[in-house]
This record gives sequence, structure tokens and C-alpha cells, in this order.
Amino acid sequence: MTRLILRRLLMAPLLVLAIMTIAFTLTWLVPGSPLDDEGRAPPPEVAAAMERQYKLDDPLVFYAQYLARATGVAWVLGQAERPFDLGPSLRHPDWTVNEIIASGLPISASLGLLAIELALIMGVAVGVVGALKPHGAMDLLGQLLTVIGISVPSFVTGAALLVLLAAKLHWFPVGGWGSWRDAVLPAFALSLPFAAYIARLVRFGLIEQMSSDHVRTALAKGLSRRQAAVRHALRNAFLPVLSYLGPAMAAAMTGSFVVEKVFAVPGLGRHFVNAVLAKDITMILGIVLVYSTILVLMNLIVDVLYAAVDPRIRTE
Amino acid sequence: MAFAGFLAWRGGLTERPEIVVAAADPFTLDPQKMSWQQELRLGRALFETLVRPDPDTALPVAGVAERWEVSESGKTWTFHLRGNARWSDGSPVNAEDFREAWMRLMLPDMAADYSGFALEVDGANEFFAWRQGALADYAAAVASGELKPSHDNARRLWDDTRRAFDERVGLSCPDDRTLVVQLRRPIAYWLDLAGFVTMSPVHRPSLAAATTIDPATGALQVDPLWTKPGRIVSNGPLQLTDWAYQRRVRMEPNPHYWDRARVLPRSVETRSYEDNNTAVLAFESGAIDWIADVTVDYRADMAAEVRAGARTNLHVLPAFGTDYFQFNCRATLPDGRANPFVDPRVRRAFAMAVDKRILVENITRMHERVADSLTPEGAIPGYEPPPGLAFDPAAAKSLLAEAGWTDRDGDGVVQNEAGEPFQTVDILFSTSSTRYGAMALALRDMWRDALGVHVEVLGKDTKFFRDDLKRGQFLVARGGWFGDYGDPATFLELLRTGDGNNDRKYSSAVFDALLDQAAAETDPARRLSILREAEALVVQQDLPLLPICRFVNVFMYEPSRLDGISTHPRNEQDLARMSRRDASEAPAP
Repeated sequence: MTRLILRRLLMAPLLVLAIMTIAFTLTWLVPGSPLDDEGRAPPPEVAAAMERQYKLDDPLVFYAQYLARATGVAWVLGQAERPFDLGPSLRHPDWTVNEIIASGLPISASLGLLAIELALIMGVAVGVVGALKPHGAMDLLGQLLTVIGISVPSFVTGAALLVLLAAKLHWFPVGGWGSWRDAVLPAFALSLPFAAYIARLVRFGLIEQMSSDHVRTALAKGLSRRQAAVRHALRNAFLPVLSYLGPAMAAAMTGSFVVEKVFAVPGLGRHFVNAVLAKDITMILGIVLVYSTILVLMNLIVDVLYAAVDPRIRTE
Repeated sequence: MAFAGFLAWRGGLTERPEIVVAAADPFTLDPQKMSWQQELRLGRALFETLVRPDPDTALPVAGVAERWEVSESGKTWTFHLRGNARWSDGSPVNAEDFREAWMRLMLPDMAADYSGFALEVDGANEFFAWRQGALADYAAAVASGELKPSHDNARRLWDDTRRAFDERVGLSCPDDRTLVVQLRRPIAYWLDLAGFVTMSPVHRPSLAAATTIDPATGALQVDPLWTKPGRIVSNGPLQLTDWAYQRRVRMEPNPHYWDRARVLPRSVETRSYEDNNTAVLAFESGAIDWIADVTVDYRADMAAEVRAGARTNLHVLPAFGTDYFQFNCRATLPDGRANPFVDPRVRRAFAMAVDKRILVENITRMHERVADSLTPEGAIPGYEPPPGLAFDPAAAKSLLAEAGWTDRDGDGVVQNEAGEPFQTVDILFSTSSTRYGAMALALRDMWRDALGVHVEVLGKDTKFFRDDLKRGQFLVARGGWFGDYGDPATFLELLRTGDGNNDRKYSSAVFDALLDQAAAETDPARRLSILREAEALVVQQDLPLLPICRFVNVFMYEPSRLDGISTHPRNEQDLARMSRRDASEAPAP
């Protein structure tokens, strides 16, 4: 087990580096310069001087220097003042990428955590209720809700929630970020697709487990269906949910562009999409670094938890 | 776990600012680097130029300078600074603060979008070129090992630069309160340029503290943090108290501002809403006083309600800008194809085949003012743009025939003498807004029906669109231009040979000569009539671009609640004069 974790921990930086390199290559291939916007064109020689200053005339030099600064190698060598310096945003020169991530990540992460918690509560509840009496009225209702949750995009549910609960009923503020009341609607809108997916996983898993040998034994010993489900089946039925939670967590915590846009939440998801549109290379790389690190870590945590839940994996 | 999430919460500000504006977040608050509307508006509040435009007339009024003189030649301007102009830290605004700021605009290291205005100062272009050469030499010497990339060497280069600036550039400060500007040519609208936000002064001590010189390149590097609240020192009516990325900019009155009595709001905040629809909902809930740019797709329906008298809070105002499509004027395209639009008769024919009224009434549905000229009417004192080409599909068809394109085989498509059909015209536009896709489709139908040509629409993502435009890989593309100062030159220079924004590569010796002739003319009325002649050439004969309509500024505010918005086309908004009529009452949440 320890060896497994160690091996995965050693692999993690390589994985992140591979993701970063792919992201960098794809970004570089997009035409145009991050310094060129739709505003006034500066004189050509000004633009050329700027490109040189940011090393945008040479991708290899740019990427090598970027990695040296971002990883802290340049700092160790005494060439940079700080370690983990992700550089200035090319499009927002008054901000460093570190500052932007520091301002956006906590917002996206708290919103994402809240959404995942909501999704777990709603998803497990709907899934368990459905699985206890498959094809019953409650199950059909639950299935209907999960289909809606998965198929209706969050810009629709988000806008509907905003118009109804915020603009018409005034229960919540219309967009923005600052108090807990601002978080309720976006967290709910963000949680719906996750909740629906979790409900499906739980329902399928639980129905399958309910017909397995050990649950049949438990039922034969006289446990009610509900007792058997909660004590004996749910644990195994939860395994697929657990493996889904890794990437889901990473996706939710690094921010959803749509939800953040609709609810005017200044989170990382919004910044990421805008960075891509503007070809803001340092911003893109910075956020990819954060996202891939969280993703790799979440998957590692899930694997460890998996082993804790399922003894068969531990012995491997 | 939820608790852990809430620990990461950043406390919000609970008290509602007096004026809340929905506007995009600025890219920068460095006054010399500003370029976008939202930045220039904030710059106008945070900084004060020598003269500033009156919001209602856009004419220059006294700012930091209390009076000024111009020499007989029109080239030497002397500005006398008022003695009570102060920075937000209480120190006096010095003439050197302007000289330093304008020098920043003349440095290639700064890469300011609006460097062009400062480059009108005598010797500025030479200084810019000198610095560029010096930086290149430094980098080459470092690369070859001839020069050690040390702080001392970089410092020496900077000292040389200062000396070159003192020697070459026509800016001098005989005393702390006098700035003498020597221009390289007489400029009739110089006060407009001197009053542009990027010409704001800079607080030298705080800038110096944030500036370092890169020993590897010799270039100046400014710590991006210097524009943040608590560090930036400004001389305008308002000062910065908070700036959260893509979230809000908050300002309060600058207690040291010389005309404190004219500053009305207790606090002003601009908030960034990525989704304009959310901003409209927030406006309707009372959380916002002014939406500075309404872009929701149902704004045309709201505008119709305004025309029907059923709504008072949406305002569609003519802007100082023209929406157009442009023709590529290069002889061949980068991919080697011949370009039929190199013939001005073809461009005229395409222009005359467009019924612009349909575009503004049925496509954009904003009922913008139809435009046949490049310069907007009624926005520049003493100048009325010449009439352009009217909609006349029959004349368009015969003009195209005159250019050699007629339907020779009766298949509905025009061919040239060699029998080759008119190549398919792609209308290039950026998909960043739905406006141009819809317009392009309408143009396609008009051109197809009136002229007998194949037309396709070609929507591209902004970066790809811009790339095609810069490379000249287009036949017809969308475009638009907002003027920067109150003179036709701000539009017409766009068509000058070699101008950085002349994506069409239109080049006419006659037109360029007229612009030069106007620039040399000292009589204002004669000068404007020469410019009118130049504009007539491009909107009646050469048609490098096809004007569609004037842009509009679409605002949302309740006139009974908010005071101080300017409705002048120049859109020179002064946040410092805005006030809420109900400000004395308890503010809404």
C-alpha cells in the first residue's frame, strides 16, 4: 500500500508536466498574440519590442524559462526572487497569475466543495430510495429527476434559478460574491449534474448488490430490505461513486465557467475560459497546473480510499 | 467539509456604495497603458490631465492646467499648472510629473497602445527609435558576451536614455508649474490629445519605487502591484480604495483634489458581470445604478418598449463611432488568388447594393442611424461629413458591368471577359458577438440578389479572425471604429497608407496628400473643408470600407434616480459628477 502511494506520488509530477506540455503546445498553435487585443493597435515596432520582452518570439525559451520559474528551479539557482512564480498575466499586466489564482481558487473551491456535498446528499438519497423499490413510483420520479439533472445544461437551470428565486422572489441576491447568501444558488446549480450522476451510480450499484450472495444471506437472516441495504450493500455500491468523486471534485473545485458566468462569481473557471479566448499563455498554464495537480491528487486520494473500503485491492 | 470551504471565504463589503456601475473589469490601471473604454473611464476619475473634456460638450476645459498659450506657429504650447493641484498623498502636482508620464509613452519598453499621441511631441519619434536601437545593441552585446548583464550596465543605459530624452524631446519645465510642449507639427486638436486619459501625470516617487531595470535586457520593468489600492497615488477627483480581480473597483473622493466641491458621490464601485443578463437582473433588483454597456440579446425588445413609451430606463444614444464592413484593397490575397475588390468600381457596386435601413430595422433592430460616411454627424463642431453613396441596386449592377462583370452565360452569376465567374465572396466576421453573423447573412442575400455573385458567410473565433485580418486573408470583413478625439482625423487617419490600423491596406496618394495638406493648414475652417474633401473621396469614390450605421451606446439607468450621465456621442463620462437623487434616503440592499 505504502509503495503504491509512493509510486503514485513520484509519478504525479511527471503526469502534471505532460499535461502542461500538451496544453502549452496547443495554446502556442493558436494564431495571434496574447498581446494583440481588439483595442487600438500600437505601432508595429512597439508590439515587436513587447513580444521580445515576454520571450514570445521563441516558444522553447519561453517554456523553459516558464517551467524554471514555476517549479522553483530558477529560485534555487538564484535567478528568481520567489519560487513557484507563475509570472504576470499577459492580458492583465497589473496582476500576477499567482494573485489571480489566489483570488479565484478559494472561491471556486468553496463553491465546488459545497456543490459536491449537496450532490452527495441529494444523489445518495435519490439513488437509495429508488433502489429500495425499483420501478416504484418514487424510483420513477427519481429517475425523471436524474434525467433532467444530467441533460439540462447549467446555463438554463442557473438562469431559471436566478430569474425565479433572485430577481422575482428576492430570496437571494442577483449574482455577485460576498456573503453566504450569494453561494446558495450557484452551489445548487453546480451540484445538479453531479447529484444526478451520483444518484444513477448509487441506484445501479445498490440494485446489483441487493441481489448478491451476501445481501441475500442477510435478508434470509431476517433483516429488512432497508437494513440490508444500509448495512451490507451500500458500502460496495458506493465504490463507483468513490471513483467518480475524484475527477468530479477536481472539476467542481476548479470552477465552472457557466455557473460562474451566470451568477457573476469571480472564480477560476471564468478566468480560465477568458484566458483561453485571449491566448493568455501564462494564465492558461497556471490554471492548467492547478487543475491537473488537483486532479492527480484527487485520483490518488480516491485510490487510497478505495483500498480502505475494498480489502481485495489492498492485497494486490 | 462545508465549514472548511467557508473558511476560504473572502469577506465582502457590506455597505452599498452610493453609485454602482456594471462595467467590465479594467485590464490595467496604469494610466499610460490604458486602452479600453472601461479603463479610460476609471482613468478619468482617478487621474486628471492638463485639460479635460467637458462631459456634455466634449470640449476641453481647464484641468490641472489653469491656463495655456499657443505660439504663432501653432507648435509651442505653454501650460500653466494651478498651484493647488495635489496628489492623493497631499504632495503638489509638478510639471515634471507630466514630463515623466509622457516619456513613459515614448518608451518602446512600455508598449503603450496609445503611444501615438505623445509621439506628436517634437523629437519623440527620434527618441523612441534611439531607445529601441540602444536596447537592441544592449541585448546583442550581452548575448555576445561583450557586456556583462549587470545592474550597473543596465543603469548606465538608463542614464543615457534620460540624457537622450532631455536632449531630443521638446518637453521642458522652466519651473515646477510650467510645462512647455514643442510639437513636431501644428495640431489643431492638440488640446483633445493633451486631455486624453493616457496623457495623465504620474506620481514619480511611487512609480520609481516600483520600477526596476532588467540587467539581461536593459528594459524597464514595473512591478504590477504598483497600481493596487494603498500603493497607487493619483491626482484625480476620486482615489482607489479597492480592486478585486474581475469583481469590483471601488473609489472614494480624493481629499486632496483641488476642486473637492465638484466631487459628488461618497463612493463609486464598478462591478464586472460576465453575463450581461445577470447585470440587467441585478439592475432591476436595485443593486446597480448604471449599466454602462447593455449587450443582452433582448435589448432590441427593450428599445422597442422605450419607443412605445413603456420603458424609461434604457437609453440608446448615438456614439462617436461607425460600424462598417471593409473591402480588402490588396491586388492579390496571401493565398495567391486575384482580388476583384482591388477595383474601386466593384467596391462601389457592393456598397450601393446594400439597403442599410433593413439592417438596422430588421437585423440589429436597434434603429441605429444609417451611415454613408465614416465620420459621425453632429459630433465635431464645424464639421459635417460629406454625403456618401445611397442605396441603388440598379446602378450597382451597371457599375459592376462597367467593371467587366456581367452574366454572360445566363446562369445568374456574373463573369469577367474571360468567362471566369466572380469568385465566391466570403464575409469574414468574428463570432464573439451575434451581431455580425446576422448582418453578414443579410448582406449575403442582398449581394446575391442585386449583383449575381456567390456569397458565403465565414464566422471565426476572435483570434483567428484577427489573424486573417492582419494577414489580409479576406475579401470582405467586418470592422468598426470609435474616434478618440473631436476631429475628423481620428477617423480618416485610419485609411492613411501604412497606418497600423489600416487592415484593408487601402493606399491612395491623393487621399494621403489631402491629409497632409490638412495637417499643414492653420486656418481651422479651411482645414476642415480639406478633410471633408478627403472623406468625400473615400465615401463617394474609393470605398475601402462600407459604412453601415453609427454605433450606439446602450445604457441602463433610471433618470429619476441617477444624475450626471452624459449623453454626448463622445461618451466622456465623469464618475465624479454622478449622484443618486435618492441618496439621502436609506440605500437599497
